[in-house]
Amino acid sequence: MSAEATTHAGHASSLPISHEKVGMISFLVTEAAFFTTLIMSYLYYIGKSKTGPQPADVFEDISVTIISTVLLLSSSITVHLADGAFKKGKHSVFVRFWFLTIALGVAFLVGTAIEWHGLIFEHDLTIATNFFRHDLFHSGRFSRFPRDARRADDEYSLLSGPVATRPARQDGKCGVGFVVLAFC
Amino acid sequence: MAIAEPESAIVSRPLPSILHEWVTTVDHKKLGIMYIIAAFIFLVIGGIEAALMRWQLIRPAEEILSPDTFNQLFTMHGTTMIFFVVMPLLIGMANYVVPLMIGARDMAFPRLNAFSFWLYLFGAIFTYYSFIAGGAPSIGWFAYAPLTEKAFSRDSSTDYWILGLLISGIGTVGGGVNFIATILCLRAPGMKLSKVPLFVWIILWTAFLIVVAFPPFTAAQIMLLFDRHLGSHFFDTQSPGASALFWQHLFWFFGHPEVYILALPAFGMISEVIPVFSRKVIFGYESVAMATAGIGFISLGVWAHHMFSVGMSRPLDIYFSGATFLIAVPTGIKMFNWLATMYGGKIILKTPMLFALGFLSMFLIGGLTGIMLAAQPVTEAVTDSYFVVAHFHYVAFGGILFAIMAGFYYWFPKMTGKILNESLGVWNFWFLLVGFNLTFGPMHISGILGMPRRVYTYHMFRPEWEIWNLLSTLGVLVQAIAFAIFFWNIYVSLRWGEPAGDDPWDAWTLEWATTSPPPVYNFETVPEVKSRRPLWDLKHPDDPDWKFEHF
Repeated sequence: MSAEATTHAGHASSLPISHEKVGMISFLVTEAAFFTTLIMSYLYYIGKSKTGPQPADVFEDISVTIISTVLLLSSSITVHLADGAFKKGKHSVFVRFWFLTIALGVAFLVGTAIEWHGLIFEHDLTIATNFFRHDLFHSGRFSRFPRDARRADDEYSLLSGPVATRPARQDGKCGVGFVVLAFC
Repeated sequence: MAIAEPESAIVSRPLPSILHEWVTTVDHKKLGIMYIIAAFIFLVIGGIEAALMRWQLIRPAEEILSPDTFNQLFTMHGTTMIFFVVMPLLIGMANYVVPLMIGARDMAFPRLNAFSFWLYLFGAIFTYYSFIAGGAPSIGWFAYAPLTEKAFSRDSSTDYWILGLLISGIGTVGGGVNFIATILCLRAPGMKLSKVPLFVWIILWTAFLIVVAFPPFTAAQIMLLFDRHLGSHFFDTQSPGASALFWQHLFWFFGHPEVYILALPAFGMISEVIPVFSRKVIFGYESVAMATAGIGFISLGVWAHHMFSVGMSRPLDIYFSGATFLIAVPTGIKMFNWLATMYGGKIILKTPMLFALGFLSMFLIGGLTGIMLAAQPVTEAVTDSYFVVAHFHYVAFGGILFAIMAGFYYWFPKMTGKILNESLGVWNFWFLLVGFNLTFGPMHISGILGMPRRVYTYHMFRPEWEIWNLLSTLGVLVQAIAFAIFFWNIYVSLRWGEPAGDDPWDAWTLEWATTSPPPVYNFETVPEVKSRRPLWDLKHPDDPDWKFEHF
């Protein structure tokens, strides 16, 4: 890296908090915007899959999910405590909470792996699982957003050529709700 | 006063050493210049794409380009101009001047700054690599579903579009985070937020829009990638329950704030140039600042005015139409502020001011046609016609690019130590003004006459379109001359231009308090600020502004 790399030593923050914290808060805002979009997508698509498995089918027993969530949230507390101990120079306390955080993280990953194993191998729920019927495509999709679909057709023909060249309609497979949920 | 590195020392160094210094730099000034150079290169590329399209449309049934090539060209032209030209130009100029304007040594996170630049550049190169890898994307710059689905875009061109913009978008978000931290935390002592230059204030709001509006686009791009490669069907209308409409919502939730991500910094540049060249304090600093905040918030709630023709419910049409009318209010406030600043001022018609005046008049036209399009029935009538193309070019080119030119002529002396040649600057302005209006003015008429956008040709039985298309194409030639003069001016001025001195415009903000170009560390001592015009206070200790500012 260039020798001209700068620091801001000597330039006191114009706010009561440091620029590092402001940067991290801004970054968290971007994360919140990102995940809000995914959650909105989940809400938008929920219930639109007409064949199973539905969320209610695969989340009958959510004990693993709850335990994993508790472990994940607990790791936030322990890493905070580790950080506090580090700043106070309490090395042994820091090491204790640091490894506890790692253990909680590993436990969360194991719980998630168990959960995903069940979803994929017991419920056959992958990103491309849920089958939608063609009759539903005509009766439900076109009647709900007729102009939307028509506009999509118009765009296609305007941009790329006659509709007759369009490839044959394919079977739809969708697990969008699950995918978004997994992201969240 | 700070001492700059002697120019001869830089010139005498071997090329690899100079290149290494630039490639590894984390200095906001060098990164700003690299943003600007890269953006100018893409400006030429995007301009050539536009010229090819205009050449194809010069008369009916022309066969210079194939339909598919034409589709690729308008996709890449829009994508390039929005993401690889205008935004990096604005970010680059902000990168250069914001730390100087607030008396900071650098951006808050210099390495993140460099990372953002390289992500932008490699994202852009990646997108353009599609030309070599079998063909550029042909999906339009807003990539409407289901055209982007695997069934309709079978090759990898759409993937290049998605991934290229995703990469450069992450860089942009990094830049947004960096600007927020820099402006909030690294201001000079005494520079309260109520005293920052308006350009800085506006960049803060632009950064806010970036961190809020870009991530939804990133999320939508990832969902689209899942559709194309992992078998999901978010936007594939061939699958029941999937929705092309939802892509439009996600895209325009980003896309409309994006218009203001581009427009707000342009407003900021104009807010710096007009007072200096009118020899007056900006009229209504507070109202410009509040109008910026108003635009920032309202712009997040108007996105679906791009979707009037998809058939939303009547209440939604009414809401989005009303919100769009509403956003014209703060924008209009700024126009009155700029006009009132000039009123009674001692106007100096140097090139930066000429471009600022060009901005005012062209952006006014773009704004007025925008108000027309805010009315849903008007949009129904002219949607996807050349009228819309004319509207957004009057906003994005006549408005934003003219403002960028004003800012570039204004800050070029600070960046290089040389003033751009004034005569060439005036020629540049008039050729661009005439060429721009000749190109895009007729599009209003051809659009109202029913000519759809994105068609690669038109039939002989529409002779009423022919003259307007001919004029538009001739306008491109005039613009090409204007840009040739512009780049020649840069070359001539860098080589033989007169030294600028530290403060060639007798300006008032802090960037003019250091040398041209500034040293690596910007300021030898961090200046103390007491008013909104700190350099005025230094120059006029007998009549400082702070005596009259009470906030």
